[in-house]
Amino acid sequence: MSVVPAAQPAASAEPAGPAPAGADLGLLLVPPRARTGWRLVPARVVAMCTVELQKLRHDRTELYTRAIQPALWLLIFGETFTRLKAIPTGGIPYLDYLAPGIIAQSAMFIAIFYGIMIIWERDSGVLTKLLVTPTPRAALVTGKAFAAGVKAVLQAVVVVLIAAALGVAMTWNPLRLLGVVVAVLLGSAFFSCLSMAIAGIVLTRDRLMGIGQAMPCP
Amino acid sequence: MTTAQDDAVVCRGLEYTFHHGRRKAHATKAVDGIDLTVHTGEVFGLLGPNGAGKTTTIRAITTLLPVSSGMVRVFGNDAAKRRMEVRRTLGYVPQQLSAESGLTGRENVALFARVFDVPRSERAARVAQALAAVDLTDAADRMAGTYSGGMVRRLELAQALVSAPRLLVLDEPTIGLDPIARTGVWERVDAVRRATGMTVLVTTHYMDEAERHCDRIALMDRGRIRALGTPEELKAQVREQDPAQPAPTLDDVFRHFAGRDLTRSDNAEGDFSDVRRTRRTAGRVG
Repeated sequence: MSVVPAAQPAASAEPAGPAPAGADLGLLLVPPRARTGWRLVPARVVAMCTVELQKLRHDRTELYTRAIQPALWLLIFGETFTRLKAIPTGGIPYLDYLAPGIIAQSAMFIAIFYGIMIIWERDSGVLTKLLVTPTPRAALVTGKAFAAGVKAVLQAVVVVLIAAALGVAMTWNPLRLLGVVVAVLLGSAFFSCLSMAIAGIVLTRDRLMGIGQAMPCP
Repeated sequence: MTTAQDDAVVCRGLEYTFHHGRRKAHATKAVDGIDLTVHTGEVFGLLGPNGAGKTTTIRAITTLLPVSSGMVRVFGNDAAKRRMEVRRTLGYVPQQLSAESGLTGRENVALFARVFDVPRSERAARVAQALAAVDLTDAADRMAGTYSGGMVRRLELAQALVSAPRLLVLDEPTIGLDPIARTGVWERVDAVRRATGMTVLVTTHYMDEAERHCDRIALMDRGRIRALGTPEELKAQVREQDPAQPAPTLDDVFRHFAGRDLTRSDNAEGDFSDVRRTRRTAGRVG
């Protein structure tokens, strides 16, 4: 019979010694009171969005790298076509015409590839663990969808700032900007739901990558 | 005497078949009518070779799979009809290393406090207690991605404990860990169990762990329970049935009830995804 050795080998990264004795576990003896009714879904949405924001706070690389593509669109295509005047835009500078589309495209890219994240979370066990919590499936999907929305809004802020720096004529009316935020949030939530639904059908990252590549094309 | 209401888990005639296509020939019966009772407060081990149906049984108990045939009750709640009530009693540590590497240990546990509806006023204290229970207080504000394999397992334990579960389900919790890390995980499980009196349902391939920590063991093979009892009872059974083994170990018990010719065992048991999942976990533990 194999026996767990008592001595610690040098290779172990574990601290030696027994579990902490006498640690206060008072709160861990009482289960929390269950939230019911309409408050359940908003609570889960907040939990999922909080996680996304925490991840972004620790590692902003994704924010920067995702800003490259819209920046290239605006700087290269936007500037070039504005000067060429090859595309009729009805008297509006081409860059002004392009900027809202770039916001939509950025949000869509984030949302579409959210399905791949769900597949990764399923493979890594993160999703499995969440599915064993008292979270209805619909609340989990809604939470993930709005978490994608939060990312997309942050992305939209970056695009708006680049566009402003390039001299795109914009309104600074807070209500209209709020409208942009709502549109980006809902649009991303819709496309991430679509992506998660497709992920549930295709089940592998490879297949979803192909579909995700094709979807934002038009 | 305990009643079904007092028992932590009761399975009766549980069956589960995976369908790989429309034809009947493309179906695999992973669980084949098992009857199982886990008493409240005990540590119950579910052992068996790869592909025996352990994980499928666990998934049915934890409501991850629908109970299409048979009955599963967790603390009296029907797992098919009262899923949310069942989930509120569970703490689950899956086979894979499932902590979010992009969050700190504290944030990982706080996420589970949130999804179990821990009120904001006591969330921080409860998270701190869960981390203290697994001896991760000092590392709580480090990114989980920097943790060793044993620390990640203990972090997952803290995530499961933060909701004060009545049943802790551990699916191969020490797979891929070095012996010291394995001991560390079990020490914390035992300490918390002593303090809270919770029930533990565990699957493992390590016979020494099963012998040392489990009050009772069920040996599964090809979807059925082949033997059930305390480690000593199982060894006594083997002694009676096989006089050639006067002092059988739990390894011998495993081979006796689940053993068969090596070629079949190697060729037929445990599908590709089983092996990939196990290797991925072992690889991540490092």
